[in-house]
Amino acid sequence: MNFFTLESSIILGLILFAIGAYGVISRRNLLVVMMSLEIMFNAVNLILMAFTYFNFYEKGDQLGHYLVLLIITVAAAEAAVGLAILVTIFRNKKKIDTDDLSEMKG
Amino acid sequence: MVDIIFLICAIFAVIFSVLVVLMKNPIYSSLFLVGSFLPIATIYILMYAPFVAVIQILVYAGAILVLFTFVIMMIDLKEKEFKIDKSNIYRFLAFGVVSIFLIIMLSYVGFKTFPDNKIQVSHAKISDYLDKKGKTFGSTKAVGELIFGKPDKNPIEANKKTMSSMQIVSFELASILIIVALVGALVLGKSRREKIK
Repeated sequence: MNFFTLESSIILGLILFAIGAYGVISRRNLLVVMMSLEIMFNAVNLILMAFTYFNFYEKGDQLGHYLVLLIITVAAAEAAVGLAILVTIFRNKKKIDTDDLSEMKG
Repeated sequence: MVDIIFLICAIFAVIFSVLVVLMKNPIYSSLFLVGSFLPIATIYILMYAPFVAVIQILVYAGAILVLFTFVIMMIDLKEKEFKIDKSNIYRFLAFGVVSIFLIIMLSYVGFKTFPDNKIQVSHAKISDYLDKKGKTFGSTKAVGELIFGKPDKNPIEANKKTMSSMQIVSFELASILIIVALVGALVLGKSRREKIK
């Protein structure tokens, strides 16, 4: 059997992305929501790496590696700022429940 | 061999990601998050990208997970607040939305995009090609040359080539982004109650 193909890599990335999206939608704990966001970033990175690797045979270009490094940088910055916001929310409200964060709704 | 490693890594990544989403206690979620990052790093190694794999382990499993664990220890939630979760109807709705997304995308992958199987190159063929032509594929040297341009004998020419490469711009923009994120996290995390003299 030939499992290590572009299609199976894309399918794995899609499944991981769907799991992360389910976590973002269905969980109320903000920490777990951010962890699910990291899973979604990982899925996108995996699909990018798969396209780079399986198209190198024809195109001979590896820009995707650099793009993945850039996405990892953005994800790290996002995690830092998001966790700082989470700590501020906890300091003001003593809870990190997403259903309680409804001040902006009016 | 490669196929078996890929299959094992895929199964572990999916299982650990599901556990991250389903665990009630966030500390277990962060533990399983490491478990879902490491198989993906292994898949990067299979894809001839050792540099990206090492960066994945360093940044995700090293830095971001430490950040998450520190925040979990810092905010000191009560036991009953760990247990909160959405009601069943919300979870059912989320599952439905995600299932529709997955079915549409999988059918797109399966039936529409690659009908002629041109893209399904076998792994042996690729490794032969890499052995012949691109020994540095995915290495630190290759990624560095991609960003900064190839080193040249003539320094003026090399400088021109570096300036004309588009990757250096986004590289510097990423460094600016990191500094802005650092300042933002500091400002947000600073306590407002006590005055600094």
